[in-house]
Amino acid sequence: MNIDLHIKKTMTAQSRVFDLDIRLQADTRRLVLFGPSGFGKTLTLSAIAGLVKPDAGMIAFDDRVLFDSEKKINLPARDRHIGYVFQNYALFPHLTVRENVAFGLKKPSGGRAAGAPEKVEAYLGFFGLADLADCFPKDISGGQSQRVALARALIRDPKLLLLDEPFSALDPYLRKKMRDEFRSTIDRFHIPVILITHDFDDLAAFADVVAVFGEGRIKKQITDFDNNQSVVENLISEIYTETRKETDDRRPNNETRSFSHPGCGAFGYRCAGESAG
Amino acid sequence: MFLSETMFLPLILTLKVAVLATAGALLAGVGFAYLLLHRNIPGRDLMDALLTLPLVLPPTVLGYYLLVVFGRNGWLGQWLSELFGVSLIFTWQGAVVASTIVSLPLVFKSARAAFENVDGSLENAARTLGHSEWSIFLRVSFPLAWRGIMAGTMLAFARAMGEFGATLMIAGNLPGKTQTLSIAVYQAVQAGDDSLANTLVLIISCVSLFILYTSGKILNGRQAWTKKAG
Repeated sequence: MNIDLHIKKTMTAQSRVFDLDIRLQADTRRLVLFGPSGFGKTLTLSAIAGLVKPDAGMIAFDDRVLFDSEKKINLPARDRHIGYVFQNYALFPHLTVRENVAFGLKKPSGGRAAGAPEKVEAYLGFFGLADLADCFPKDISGGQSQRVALARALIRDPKLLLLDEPFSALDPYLRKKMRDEFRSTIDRFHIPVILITHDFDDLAAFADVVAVFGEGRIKKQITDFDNNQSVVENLISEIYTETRKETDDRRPNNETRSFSHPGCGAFGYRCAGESAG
Repeated sequence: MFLSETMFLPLILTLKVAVLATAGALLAGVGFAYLLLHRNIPGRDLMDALLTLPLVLPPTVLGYYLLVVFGRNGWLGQWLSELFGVSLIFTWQGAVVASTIVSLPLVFKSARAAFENVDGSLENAARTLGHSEWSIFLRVSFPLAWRGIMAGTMLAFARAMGEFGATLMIAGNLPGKTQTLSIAVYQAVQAGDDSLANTLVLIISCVSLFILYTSGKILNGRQAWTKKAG
């Protein structure tokens, strides 16, 4: 994929002004946005998905213009065909696993796309969710929730997949397992991904191109991560030293968000026997 | 002869007015709550205050406003009589309008709180999954806010059942035509007819209690997706 964006956005929240000014051009299948929390990574991802409108700039993906403030182009999120896996997975709590996975296949008119039921069952099977199809999100574990979120996004055959700290809501043991599983899934689906993380292990597992974030800016873009690991490591320790105080201030806020995720508490729980129709 | 015409007609009229007023308040309350929350409408705080105003204003003041607006010389009243040859003054439809406006804040406030409680990332997820704003409202926001909205609607119905002041101002007290139960009670007491007053009071109390009790039971019934399995 070829992603080209330069966007500006100013946010004001409780007398703190946050100024985002991102320039990014990359030709890769695996782009990682790396940096401490609160530096605008999620905002950048939301702008690519069409969930946040930048004040100015442009976003193009594979020669398709998604947003251009000068030409007054702003493709709505529903027409961008970009999959998004949210940090807390954002599964619909009132729908079963099957209904969650099928959610994106409904045509705007309300009818189902041709072949939809078969496709849903095939995806449930591929992601190991067949036994959980009738469960509600509150009854499945964090790892299972992530698979549902992934299946729900991929079933629409998106042209690009965005992931916001996909492993941060999981406990360390599961994190490694899901990371490996996820790596083989994206290889299988041949889908380009943009992933946000502040975990160096994620970087090592996924990165091809890394964009290291400073506050509201991209501090450095590194292509060919595998041969430049030490550069990245130095850069990161530099950023963390610089901003330790600020990061500590922000962290509690961020962690409340990960803990409020709905499926986490019931790790390993299976409700295959129960059908709540 | 327990349910003579003097009791039966006001009861039917009261139920008819309350049902229609609740339906109106539900549609308008949910619509305004959702739009004010999801669209960047200028003067949003002022709209919010205006929609809540009927909750704190004395019903007679509201009734006076309605007379000013819908009366023969009011701008809406003139328009209605010129275009359709109808007037809301001294009609049961006028009572519906009065009850709708009085009970609107109850639906609006609870719907707004219920919509605010819906996790915004769910609505965003639906957007990235190709759904239109209308589809998101129907499939995500409304089902998740449903309970809060119903609780407010229940209160709105109870409020509409008991509406007195604004209804009296705009619809008057025409027995068999615009005389609702609460107005019939007032008239019976004024006329010194204690037995009629007692019966009417008993009827309105029982009907209201029954409605609140059954709807409360339905609302508190747990839904499959909130019940913890096992």
